[in-house]
Amino acid sequence: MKKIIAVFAAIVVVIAAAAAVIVLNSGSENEKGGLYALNAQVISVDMGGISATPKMVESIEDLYGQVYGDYVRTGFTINDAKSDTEFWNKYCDYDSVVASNPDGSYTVRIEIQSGEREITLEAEADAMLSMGTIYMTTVYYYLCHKYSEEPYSDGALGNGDLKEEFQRVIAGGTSLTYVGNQTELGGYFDADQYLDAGQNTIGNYDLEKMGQHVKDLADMGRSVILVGSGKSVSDSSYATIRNVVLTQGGEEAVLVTATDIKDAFANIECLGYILGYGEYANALIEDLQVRLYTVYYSIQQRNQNTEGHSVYWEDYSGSSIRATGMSANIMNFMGWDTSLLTNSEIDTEALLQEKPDIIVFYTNDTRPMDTKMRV
Amino acid sequence: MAEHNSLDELRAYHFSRKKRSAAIIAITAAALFATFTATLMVGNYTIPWNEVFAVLFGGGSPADRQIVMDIRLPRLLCCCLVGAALSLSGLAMQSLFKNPMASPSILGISSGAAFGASLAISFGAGAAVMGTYSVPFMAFAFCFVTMGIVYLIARTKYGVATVTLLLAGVAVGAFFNGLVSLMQYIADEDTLAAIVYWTMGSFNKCVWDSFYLAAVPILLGIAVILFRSRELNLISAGEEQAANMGVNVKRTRILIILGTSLCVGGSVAISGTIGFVGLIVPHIFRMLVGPSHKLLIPLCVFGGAAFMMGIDTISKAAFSVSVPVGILTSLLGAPFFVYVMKTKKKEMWE
Repeated sequence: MKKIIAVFAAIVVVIAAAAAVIVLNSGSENEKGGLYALNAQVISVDMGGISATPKMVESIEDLYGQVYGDYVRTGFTINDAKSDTEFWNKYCDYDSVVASNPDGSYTVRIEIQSGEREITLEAEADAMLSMGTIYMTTVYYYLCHKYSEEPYSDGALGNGDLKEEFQRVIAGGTSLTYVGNQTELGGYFDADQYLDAGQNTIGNYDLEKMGQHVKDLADMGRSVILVGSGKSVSDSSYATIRNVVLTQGGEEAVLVTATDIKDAFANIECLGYILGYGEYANALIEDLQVRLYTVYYSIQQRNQNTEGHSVYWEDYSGSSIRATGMSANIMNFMGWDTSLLTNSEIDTEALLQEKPDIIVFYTNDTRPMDTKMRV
Repeated sequence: MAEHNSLDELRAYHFSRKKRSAAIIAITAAALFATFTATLMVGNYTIPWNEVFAVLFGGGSPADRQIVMDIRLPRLLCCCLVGAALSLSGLAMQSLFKNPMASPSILGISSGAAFGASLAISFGAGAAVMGTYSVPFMAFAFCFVTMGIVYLIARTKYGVATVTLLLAGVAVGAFFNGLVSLMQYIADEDTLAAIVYWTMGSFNKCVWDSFYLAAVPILLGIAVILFRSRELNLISAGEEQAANMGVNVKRTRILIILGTSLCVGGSVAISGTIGFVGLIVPHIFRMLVGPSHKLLIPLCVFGGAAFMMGIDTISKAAFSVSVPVGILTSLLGAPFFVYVMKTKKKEMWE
């Protein structure tokens, strides 16, 4: 009896294995089922690029290239972009949050949870504790502009002066592990020199550690600012943080918030001025605006007389991204339908019903494609 | 208990017991003071110990003064308050429900607080009334909302049975946990991180204002429980016996729950939810000194405070990354608890 059961079990295992092999290797993607049945275009985007940094424009260019291919027209100038008032007013005409004063100081409009307030920096800072990868990415772009290097290229990574200056200015902040995981900037830092906060948000930065980091830099004669997102920082928390920075010899705590493309330009300009990269920031912003207009112009031409694409954009957790913030701004810029961006799991049936024609995943989403496509 | 042949022997025995109790309390108080002094010297900012003392006596540089007086000291005092409050609440809950697994979260109070805090973090609820203190305010308020709901559910025309109260607490706690999960599910990335971090417990944002906010309810809660120590002794032996001995069980139960809510509300308001302290500290002392609440209450207050200061200092300074204290209370507390349980032969509930 036991032998019969054993033989029967072996047959079942062999049949199951064979079925699995057949299913996994079954013909075309369409036959695989799941989201493959939509026949949608599957594209990928760098998560670190969906942020209020110069990389935002690269991400927009990349998305455009994957979906539409070549530009309808190139060779625009900044005057072309400015003359298209609809484009300029909507995406480029930002309110500066920094103003340089005759005595060499800077007035900066920062933003925390309760709203805006003004602070004054006596002079340009030469070191930054960056609580968030956004600010270090922005500085990286200034330096690439300064040293005429292509961002994230081997040349940039191999440029010793660029690397040295980058590490000198970005003296510390956001956990280096996080920087390495979320951006391509990890290789630019020497962990022994980096003042690691061990956290990713300013609210979780241990106040003693913050004080020690500011003091260490101030003792070296550095003029240091703390930069982070003010979105979740209350008045009392900001008062405490600022007090620590000032008492320990730092210059200021500069908290900013960016929710759309215009805010991103304002922040790029602000950081440029207060870190002494004003000229590079201006040139960088102009370049970004022209590139953005190039994409915008082509999209307007291609979307004429056609319905915009319907997009489903999924993050690592299998949930759709939210229809607010920078990712939604980028979607709106592309003229795509954002109704499937609900910041929640959308079941396969609903997706098959809604029929998005573009599916977006992050480039560093390591799930197998069949898992992402729910086969 | 040894056999005593005369009244003098009995008096001598009681005197020696009192002396022993006083000695144990004094040793624990000394341990608290030693822990406080030691943890005041340790942090992520390097200050020599003599400089710390200089600051405490009015000297030191402005930079050092800020770290010691404005950051380290209020944080440690908050740890003391929260550690004492959670330990004592755990002790009170275990005795009231005669359940060794009871803890301050048993009545769903912590879950209610987490929901209140999540509301404030996600939607700014309470900001119109309390401004930047909306999160602690909402956490504190929802402790009492939860307690009220639990009590109303458990109340019948025959009174409130302890088991019904316990079950109502579990149900309401589960309900609020579900709501917190829902809030996390719909929250954006930043809000989700803030809620999750809050539920892990941390003293990172504790400043003098936090201490002042929590001190009044916690000290009031401790006082309420402290003055009911005799009744707790009798109730933990059985409610019927306690009633026969003249204890107003119903009133005592309400007062103990009120005291616990004040303690838990004050704690979660400034530190978020920190688990396991209310379970581990009372049991350790129960195993060491037996079931008398006259002894257990001061020991839990001093021991809980020392435990929390020690764990918080480890959490902020022992690793390259500051670990939320709620994680460490479980990771370090559980093995220590098991060690004490295995090495101490005394039956904890005898």
